[in-house]
Amino acid sequence: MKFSVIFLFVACMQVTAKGYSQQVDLSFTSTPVTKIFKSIKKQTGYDFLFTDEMLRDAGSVSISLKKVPLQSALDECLKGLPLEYTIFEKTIVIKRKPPVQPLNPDPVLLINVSGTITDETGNPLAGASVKIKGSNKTTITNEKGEFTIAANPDDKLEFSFIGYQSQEIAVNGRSSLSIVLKIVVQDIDEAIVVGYGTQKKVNLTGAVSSINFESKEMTSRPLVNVSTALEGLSAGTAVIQASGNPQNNNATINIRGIGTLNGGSEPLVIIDGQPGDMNTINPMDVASVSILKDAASSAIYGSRAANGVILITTKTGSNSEGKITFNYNGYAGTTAPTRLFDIISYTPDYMELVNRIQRNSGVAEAFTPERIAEWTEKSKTDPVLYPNTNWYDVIMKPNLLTSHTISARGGNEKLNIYSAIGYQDNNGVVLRSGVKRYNFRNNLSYKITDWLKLGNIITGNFQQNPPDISNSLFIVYPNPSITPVYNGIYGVAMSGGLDTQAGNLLEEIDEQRGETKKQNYTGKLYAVITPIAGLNITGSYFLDKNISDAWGSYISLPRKNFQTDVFLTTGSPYGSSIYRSFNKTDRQVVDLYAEYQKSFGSHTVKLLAGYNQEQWDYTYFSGSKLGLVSNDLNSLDAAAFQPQTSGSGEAYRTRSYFGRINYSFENKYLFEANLRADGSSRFSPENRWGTFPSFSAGWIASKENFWRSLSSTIDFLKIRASWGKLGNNGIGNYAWQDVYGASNYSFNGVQVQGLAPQYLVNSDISWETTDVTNFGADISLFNKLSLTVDYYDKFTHGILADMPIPGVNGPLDPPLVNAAEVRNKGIEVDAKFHENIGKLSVVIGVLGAYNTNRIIKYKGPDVIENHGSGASSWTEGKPIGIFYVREVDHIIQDQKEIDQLISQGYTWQDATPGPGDFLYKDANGDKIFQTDETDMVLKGHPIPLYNYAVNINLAYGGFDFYALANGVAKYDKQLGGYSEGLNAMVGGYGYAKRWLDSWTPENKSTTIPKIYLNDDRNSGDNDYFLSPGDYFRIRTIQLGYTLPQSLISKAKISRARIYINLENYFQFTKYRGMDPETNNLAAANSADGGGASSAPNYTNTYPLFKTASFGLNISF
Amino acid sequence: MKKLILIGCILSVITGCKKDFLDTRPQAAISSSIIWSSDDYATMAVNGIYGNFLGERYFGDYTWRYSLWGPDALDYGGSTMEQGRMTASTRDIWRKYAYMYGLIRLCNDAIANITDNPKLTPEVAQRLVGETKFIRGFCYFNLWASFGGLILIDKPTPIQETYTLTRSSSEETQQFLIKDFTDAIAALPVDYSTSPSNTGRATKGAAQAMLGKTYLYAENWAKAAEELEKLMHPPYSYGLPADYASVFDPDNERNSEIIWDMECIDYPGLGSEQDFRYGGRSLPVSGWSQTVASWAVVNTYTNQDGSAIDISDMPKRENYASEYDYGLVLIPWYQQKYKNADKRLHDNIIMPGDTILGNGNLQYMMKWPYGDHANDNPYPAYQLDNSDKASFGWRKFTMDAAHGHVNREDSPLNLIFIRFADVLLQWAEAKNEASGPSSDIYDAVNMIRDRGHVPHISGLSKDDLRKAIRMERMRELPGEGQLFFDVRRWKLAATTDPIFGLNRVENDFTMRPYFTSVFPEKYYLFPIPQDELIFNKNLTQNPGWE
Repeated sequence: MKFSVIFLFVACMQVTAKGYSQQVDLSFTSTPVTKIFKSIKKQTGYDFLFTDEMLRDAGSVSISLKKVPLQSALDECLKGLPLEYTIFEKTIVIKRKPPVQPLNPDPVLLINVSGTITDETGNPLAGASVKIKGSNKTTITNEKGEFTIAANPDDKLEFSFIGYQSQEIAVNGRSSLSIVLKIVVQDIDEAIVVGYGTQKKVNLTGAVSSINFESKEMTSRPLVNVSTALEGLSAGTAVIQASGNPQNNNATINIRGIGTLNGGSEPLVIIDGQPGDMNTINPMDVASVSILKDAASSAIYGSRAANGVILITTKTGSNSEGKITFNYNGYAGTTAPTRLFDIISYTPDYMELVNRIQRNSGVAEAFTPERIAEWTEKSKTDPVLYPNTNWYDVIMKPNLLTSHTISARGGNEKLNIYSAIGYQDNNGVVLRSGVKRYNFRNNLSYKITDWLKLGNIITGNFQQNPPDISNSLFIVYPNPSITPVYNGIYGVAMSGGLDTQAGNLLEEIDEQRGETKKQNYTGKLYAVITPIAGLNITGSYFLDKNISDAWGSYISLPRKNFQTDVFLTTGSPYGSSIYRSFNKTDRQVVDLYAEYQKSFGSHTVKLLAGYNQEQWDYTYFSGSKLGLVSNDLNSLDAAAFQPQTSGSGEAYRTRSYFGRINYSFENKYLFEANLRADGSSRFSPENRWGTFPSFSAGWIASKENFWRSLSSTIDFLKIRASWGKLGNNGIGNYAWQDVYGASNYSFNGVQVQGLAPQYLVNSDISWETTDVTNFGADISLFNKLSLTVDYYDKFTHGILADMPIPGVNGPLDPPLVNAAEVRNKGIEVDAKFHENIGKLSVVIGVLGAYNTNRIIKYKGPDVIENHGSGASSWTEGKPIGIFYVREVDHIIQDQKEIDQLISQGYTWQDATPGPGDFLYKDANGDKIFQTDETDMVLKGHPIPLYNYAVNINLAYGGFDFYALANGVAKYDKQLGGYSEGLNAMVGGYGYAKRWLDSWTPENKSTTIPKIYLNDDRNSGDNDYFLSPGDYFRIRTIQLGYTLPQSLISKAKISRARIYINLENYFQFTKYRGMDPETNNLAAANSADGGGASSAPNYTNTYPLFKTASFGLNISF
Repeated sequence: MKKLILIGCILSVITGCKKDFLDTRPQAAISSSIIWSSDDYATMAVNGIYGNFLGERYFGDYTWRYSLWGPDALDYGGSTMEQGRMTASTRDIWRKYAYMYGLIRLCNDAIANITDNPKLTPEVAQRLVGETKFIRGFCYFNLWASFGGLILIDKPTPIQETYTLTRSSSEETQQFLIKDFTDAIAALPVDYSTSPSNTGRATKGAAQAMLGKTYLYAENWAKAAEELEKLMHPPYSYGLPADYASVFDPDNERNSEIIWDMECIDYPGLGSEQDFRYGGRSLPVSGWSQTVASWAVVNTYTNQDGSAIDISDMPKRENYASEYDYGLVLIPWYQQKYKNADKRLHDNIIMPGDTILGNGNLQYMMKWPYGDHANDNPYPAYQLDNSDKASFGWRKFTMDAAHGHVNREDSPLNLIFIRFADVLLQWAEAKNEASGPSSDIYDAVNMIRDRGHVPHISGLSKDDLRKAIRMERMRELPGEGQLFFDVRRWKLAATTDPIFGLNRVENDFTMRPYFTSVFPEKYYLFPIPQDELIFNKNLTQNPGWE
């Protein structure tokens, strides 16, 4: 019926149009239509028929036409107005257009609208979505940015793409459109992934950072894992990569400081809805990462959210009308250590230094002048008998890092798929430390009916590496240069007996054989049911399986003193050893939750309620033997002696109920409340359940009427506040249970079973609780600068601590009690600026965070407790790990100083120092220089006070440039160990070149004192060993070029981009050790059970590395 | 309808879960609630006390640590204790205190839960209580000898109650020990000949010996002599094997001289650390020589004809150009000088020029400087520790290549705490103090001297006999952890007595000083660890440590 009416009308128009061909001239600017009608009447004599009512809201028209037919003139004149016309004889009848019928458009009338979407510099945007407004019809652009969609001529189209401002354009009958999307400065409409759902950024009331991983700058970095990729991308999120060891190069992440004294101070990581290890996934598969920082956003995860939550969403397919896009992204790069010590590799220097150290300690010098002269001369020609070995050069080589990812992505209305395989080969910078990784991912969803969607996610991640021996290589300085490397036979140090203990690092590497294979599989099945509009019920089952299978063998290889022809054999008389170990972890998660959303009038309400349970089971066994019959074999049966086996397992379970209410009024006043109840097997039945609520509110002031006058400067302002309670159960799985474990013995020469209590147990332990208060604001200025500012106060109480108990209870560790308190307070700023200068687009981002960390309550106001090696201590009122040290005043240059002090009545508890030694400060003023705590002070910043980052993104034509830098400030680290100790070991160790400048009577250094042998007068925990760990590091510099379409379209490639990237290449620091990022904070929080207590602060470690890479990203 | 079925399915998955879903248990340990429910478990719990007893910081370090604190041995680096720098905060003191109480805690649990427990067989329960009372007494004895009067805990005690406990007097502590040992004597068998698999558990004789030793330390001489003498008569059948060295031979364990030892086997965690602490690098297991013998011990020995060994003609370092040249003269001098010494000297100590069958089945000779002779053939130099020290090494307690084992920390040689020779000398000492010299005292001492092939003693005054017995203890028991307690109870440690006094310079065998040994008067009692006084205001500190 409707069809016929419209048809007739169109036909009529065509017929009647023919009869009138009189031409008109029109030239008006902003003129009411009635005036134009009068002009037409004047020129043609045609009458107009209309009512004022019809033209009431017709407004003004600008028109400029010369000698056009009447009909065209009328068309042009009424374009964009809610009016149409018919010509009846010499009368033009003006009518209002019939109202648009949004639904049920007639197929015959649909037109194919096609077009391209580009960014402001003309680059096509692939994967951008095009949606007909008010319907669920969507398509996405192909790799040339092209799309075609069947639409009603009256439809409006919505164009959107992550990271760009969405646009809405009316079709207006056009069949070809050219759309330019602008990069968002702050896309307030952007959907942010939050716990169990998404939320528009504009409506967020919590503190959340969101990172887009699909951007070209992220997909072009040689990122070895997801955790290190987060460096410098979120304010208040400290990311520290402690080691460059490819087998263990995960970064440690701390959100808003360290909130506990125990292990488990890392955030909860949720991957596509379930907890997981972010380092098992290929960074190329990640779509976005949300970091939930305050209690309002993370309370939905309750007892595991005290340290914040990181939500990782992987890529999925979307409706692209059946088209599948294939993408290859790969790079190859060379890696090299970022920063190493300068070690002595010239043996005569080494000999002089050994002599100097021995002279300082009154020990006979090891090398005669003749010996040194001999070495100086002969080492020029004979590197075997007179080596000048640089051991860093021997064991560390620039190496290759390569990665390839191939993916297919697309779908139609019913079926969506993202499928990828990836390969990464990271050879590391140390010999035989490389890791190969393979992974695949298959994200699939299928819409069965209007109300049922099914989906699954299947992933696999495989890793292969040799046994990890790097730690033993870097515990001390490498071998002295006096050791020759290899001449068919491994050399030993050759210096008259003194250095026979010096190892040969190459031999140590070659003595280790073996392989570790890790397999990780995850599978998730889910269903989404929509029984009524607005209600979605999601149910899922998730399984995560980790299997690790390792074997290793230690072979004893002989070493030789080439000068004396003597072989040195070490190792067990039973020959090579062999071990094999298996372990397996299964994690199963069941989720069931329902969401309901409803708007009525100005009110919008969203409800969420759900159930979650998780079970984790771990088992392991391992065996070892001695006397492997052949070094070519790797099974336990091939060895004869001393079989040893062990095996056990652990498990934990959690069960949770959660709910959330979102309410907004007029989209201006926002309110949210969360509640989660968690039950955990880690606590006794009486203490098992904990409840974690949060409340937050927001006010979008810029939507108020009174704001209008301000809106040209401050176009957006939202003020937020939140409070909530979070829990931490990062403790042992059985800490509350009183148990007896093996304590075996032998009677009559035969082993018997024995049992003894394993711990002193406090069955009443419960959750650690963190209260977080957050105030924040989101501001946008001039539509160019966006700003997010947050202030937080994060107070953790009931921290499990081993409060000391009398020794009459025995030597077992005291039971844990919920007693200690830690507070983190800070400010975060996240600013982003966007500007186009001609064809050049510029985006600059700046992040900054300031955090203070304090232990509020521990073992009493005066207790200073050493934790870990070095001077790291815990005490009330100071940050975790504050350094407890003696202060060095200066290096004594003259005996007169000492004599004068003695005459003033000063005494020394230990040996009286002399010229070249430190003069410490007499901290307590008692005129006694003491080595114990009476002269020690608390100082330094064990945790960086400031974290900051800057990024710049430029695009011009096909070229793009990206740079990211970050740094920390107000940060101290303790140097130490053999490498820095000033109390040298003579024999097996190389030394820092810097030590050649140490104090001697001839070279009266004011910076490096005398170095001794077995004498710690200048070593020990003093502030000379505190070195500023502040650094500023240029994480990445990237230049890319997108090849023009004209060039690649012939090869059926829709898009091709080449890029070069320098990762970790430039660093600015005054730190005296290897790399300020290695260890320290990360170690302080390692979840190894020791927690922050195990801060080893200063041991050297596998160096971090920098990468120069070249890559290619093509789609077809 | 389909929707409802689906929702129903999912809900049934959830609700199908078990109610005890959140209950998990450790997989390699059992709950304390069932440990006292059967003979087997209760026996295992008591076995676990033995297992702990052997732990390094319980009694695993007893022999070597007390030896180096005593006159018979030393740590060549000079430990805090030996140099007189110990304070109430020294960690070793806290360890000696807390580890003993840790064992006592286990014993209290066992005694309280086994006594009158209807689930256990009475005979088994009686023996287990006897064993744990003996061990508890042994721990309290060690604490009493170290610290004097103690906090006496005799039942399971909640941690909260331990902040206010008070010390009993030395006399009360002694009474407590007498009660424990008397109870143990009544409960324990003489030996385990009827159930050999129990060999190694505490015996009636062990408890009897500790009862006697308690009276001895309390200087109740008559009572000590009376109790110790019981061990010389049936039902006991202790004796002295003719060869002194065979007493410490792992192939001759459980010989007639052993009254109480900890069973050790060459298995991870079940052996002793003695090889590691006494032995040198040249042994198959590459020991660390944590303790070396002192000149004081060497100086107690005589020639086998009873004459003193005069070392005044020792070659002097300053007469030789280099250490190498000096060593070439010094080693033969030692060999000549000590050729005819008391046999026990060479059984106990590797003297310069002595050999031992070491790593790789080679005979190693004690030479000096080690570095210059490391590759000599035959007889490469015996290396003690990591350095080139001129120390007397221990042969006693170390396993030569003929008894080689695999794990350094797991020597199969049992840790001996009470042997009959020690008991005889204790008895001799008590008897002499109580009633003066008598022929049975001489017989006992001479029985011991016979093994050193040295002449009998006789006809001494009471004072001279006391001195002779003390010297005999030094010759007979060096390195066994006994003499530290002896020189303290004899009140000789704080003197400059050349043998028993601990205020002296410790020299190596080239007469180079290691360090100066210092033993202040207050060392006669260890301090109560400082932390204990902070926790418990009711505690009093020992004299000199306040």
